[in-house]
Amino acid sequence: MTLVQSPPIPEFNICAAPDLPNDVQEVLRGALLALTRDGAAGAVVLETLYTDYTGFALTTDADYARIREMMQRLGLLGETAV
Amino acid sequence: MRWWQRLEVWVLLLSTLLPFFGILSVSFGVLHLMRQGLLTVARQQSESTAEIITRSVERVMKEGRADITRALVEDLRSHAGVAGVDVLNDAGREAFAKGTDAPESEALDRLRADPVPFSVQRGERLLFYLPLLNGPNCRSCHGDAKNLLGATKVSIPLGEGCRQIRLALVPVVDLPRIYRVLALRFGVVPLESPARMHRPFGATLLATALRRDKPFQHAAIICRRDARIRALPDLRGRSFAFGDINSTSSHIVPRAMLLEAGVGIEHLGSFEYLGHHDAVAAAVLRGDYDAGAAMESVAARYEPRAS
Repeated sequence: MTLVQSPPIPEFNICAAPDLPNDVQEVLRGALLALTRDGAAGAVVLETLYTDYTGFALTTDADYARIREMMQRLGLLGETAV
Repeated sequence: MRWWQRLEVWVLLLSTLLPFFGILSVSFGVLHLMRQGLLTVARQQSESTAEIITRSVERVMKEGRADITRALVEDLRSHAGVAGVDVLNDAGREAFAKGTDAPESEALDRLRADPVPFSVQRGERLLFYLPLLNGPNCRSCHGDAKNLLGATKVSIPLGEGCRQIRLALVPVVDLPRIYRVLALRFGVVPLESPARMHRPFGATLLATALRRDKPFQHAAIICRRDARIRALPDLRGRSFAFGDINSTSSHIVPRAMLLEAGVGIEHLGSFEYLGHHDAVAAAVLRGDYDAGAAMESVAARYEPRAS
């Protein structure tokens, strides 16, 4: 049984490597945001990534700040990693 | 004309024509080999396309919804690079057509005898027949009597040259593979916490996944009902199962919650990392650990079995 449930945890994200050109990043972001379960191809892509995924949305670094603070408090982030 | 003059003409003709025919036949040979090579490549590419299409159809069929399966087949048919997609019943009749004739009964007979996918070249098309076998999820409706429920027939054109076919097929039907490669190349690593991934490498956030339309999930700290644990402080001295050390919802967040409740990692009787969320839920359920942490959806899945 569930003893305690956590506050909302931001979902997994897709990041681009720093050396990936900006225009490619934008194309990739556009392709991800356009994915839906409505088209067969989109449904197959999402299903391949994870069964519960229904799409992608924009996000900001701030959405993940709280998790980063937790990791810091627990000593799970090195000096260079912050 | 004297006999030696005739001989001269023959020698002249042969010495001219032999190299000519030689070059011609070698050229044909080379062209034939090139064509065979291209055909082999096209066949291999088309084979994986047909397989991806069949897997998608199978997955939707397991939902038991004929209308969605039909919509998917329609959708797949409309893609360039695919000349036809049909779902056939075990008699060889098109499953969604009202006609009574079974034009593919021979193909189905062959699959019944040996349920291995096969392909044939018919004119400018490659036809792939892949069996739809009776599995555990199918038996509730189809019973146990038949091993072969039907087949998918995928037709792929060879018309405009093998190279074009190959190029056309990649963006149309191989999207999952492309995305998977992109995902791996550009840093989706589901086992790693997003917060850890992002900063140290200077990566840019592109998008966040939506799980059932929501950009967030929850972690759950779970225990057996008979474990006499009512609140987090009761976990002092008890054994605890985490998932992966880099997992947000089966380690980082639950550990922060424990710390907030005054239970540091050193206050636990023992703890271990079991890797996967499911492994945590199963181990707690078995009584191997007093409590554990997993993502909410996994905890909910095991809830009915909790004692």
